[in-house]
Amino acid sequence: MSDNDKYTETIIRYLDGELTGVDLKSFEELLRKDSAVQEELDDLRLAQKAIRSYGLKTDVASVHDEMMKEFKAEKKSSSARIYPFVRTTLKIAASLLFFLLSIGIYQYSTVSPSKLYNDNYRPYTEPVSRGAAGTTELEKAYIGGKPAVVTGLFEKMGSADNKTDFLAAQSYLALHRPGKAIEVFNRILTSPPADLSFRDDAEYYVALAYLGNNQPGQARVIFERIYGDKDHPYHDRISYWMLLKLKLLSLKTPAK
Amino acid sequence: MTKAVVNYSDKELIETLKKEHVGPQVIKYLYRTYFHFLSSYIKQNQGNEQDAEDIFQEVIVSFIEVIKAEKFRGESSIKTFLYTLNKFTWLNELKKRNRSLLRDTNYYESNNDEDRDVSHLIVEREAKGMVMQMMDKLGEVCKKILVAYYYNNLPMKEILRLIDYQNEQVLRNKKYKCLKSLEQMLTADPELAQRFKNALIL
Repeated sequence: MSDNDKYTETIIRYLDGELTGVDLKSFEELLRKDSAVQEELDDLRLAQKAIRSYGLKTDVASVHDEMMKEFKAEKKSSSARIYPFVRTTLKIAASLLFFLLSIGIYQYSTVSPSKLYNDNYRPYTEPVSRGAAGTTELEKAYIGGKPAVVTGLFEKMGSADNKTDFLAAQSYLALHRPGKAIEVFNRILTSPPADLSFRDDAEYYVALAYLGNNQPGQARVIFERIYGDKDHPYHDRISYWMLLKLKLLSLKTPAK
Repeated sequence: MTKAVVNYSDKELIETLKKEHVGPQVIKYLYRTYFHFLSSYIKQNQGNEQDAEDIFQEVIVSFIEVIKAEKFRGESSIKTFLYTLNKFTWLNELKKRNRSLLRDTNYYESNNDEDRDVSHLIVEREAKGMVMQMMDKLGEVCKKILVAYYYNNLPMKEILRLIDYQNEQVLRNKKYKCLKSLEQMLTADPELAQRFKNALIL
């Protein structure tokens, strides 16, 4: 071991806190006197710092790897949590879309003016009681459920008033003669403004008659108008669903 | 599996980091609390995921050293301090890569004392990296002995269990040689040694 090495060993023992008592005092004395020893002490101290820095770096690096794995696992699990939710939502949305499309296709293929007419046609009920004073033969026949008699009488006597026309038009509908019914209903709708009776009823039933006469385009215009007027007495008889079917009919038979 | 997560206030964190040995739990806390926040700065400023990871690792080592050297003045919160450290480390890295610097080109001219300290540390980070490479040159056994003794503060008897040596005296001799070798490597490049010293005396 050289002199220099001898000092190095003592310096290291000093740095490691192993020098005590007389040995420590004599080394501290040496330090004060010998600048080379002081310099080597500084260098070895720096080396120790380098080791501590390296140790810390290694510790951080080890935790770093662990944490990166943890973050990546968290990212994966959060994706795993999100993806099933997205998948389920998409499945539900696709099923719903398929369901709606199926309904749309079914409705489109099955809807027809006559079907819509039959689904919505309800014969008008005359509110006049049987045998009441002032009841005409035509009204009696209508109340008696004899549409052919009504139309026979109507054709003989001709147009009298809105009520007569309306009951006659209803009878034509009952006899499956929508073309004739349209003609008579329209007579009520274009009658002089002095007589407003049966106009709202005629409006609804003429639209139905158009359906029965395979003219869904004409019917749709009238039904939409009634649907848009909340005060119309027949407003509640028309649903959005019915208008949707009318739109489908317009697509199927655009010219009518 | 649920992990036990320890939370620290700024004060508790500083006190814990000042202790002789820094445990993995406190380092994990730093990662869980600040990694996403700091890495987003890197990724928003021309860096990728790997850059963000590397810079964060460096930032944590520097931060712990700053605390241990009692150079953290507490003028700002730990979050702000780490942000500054992260920013300067990344800008320095960008400069090293010869990329155009962002808006903070003059970051060395900061008026804040803490910022100046940080920028000083960053300037010397390359020297620090070179010294770390020297450690690697010592070999596995030397590294193991020196780190166990000077960083983990293990007594020689315990280190003897880790290293397959005949007795404690043989181990002491080896430790002496390893430390001397490192010292010689450092003194062989006085400029590097000085720069490394500068990086440590923060």
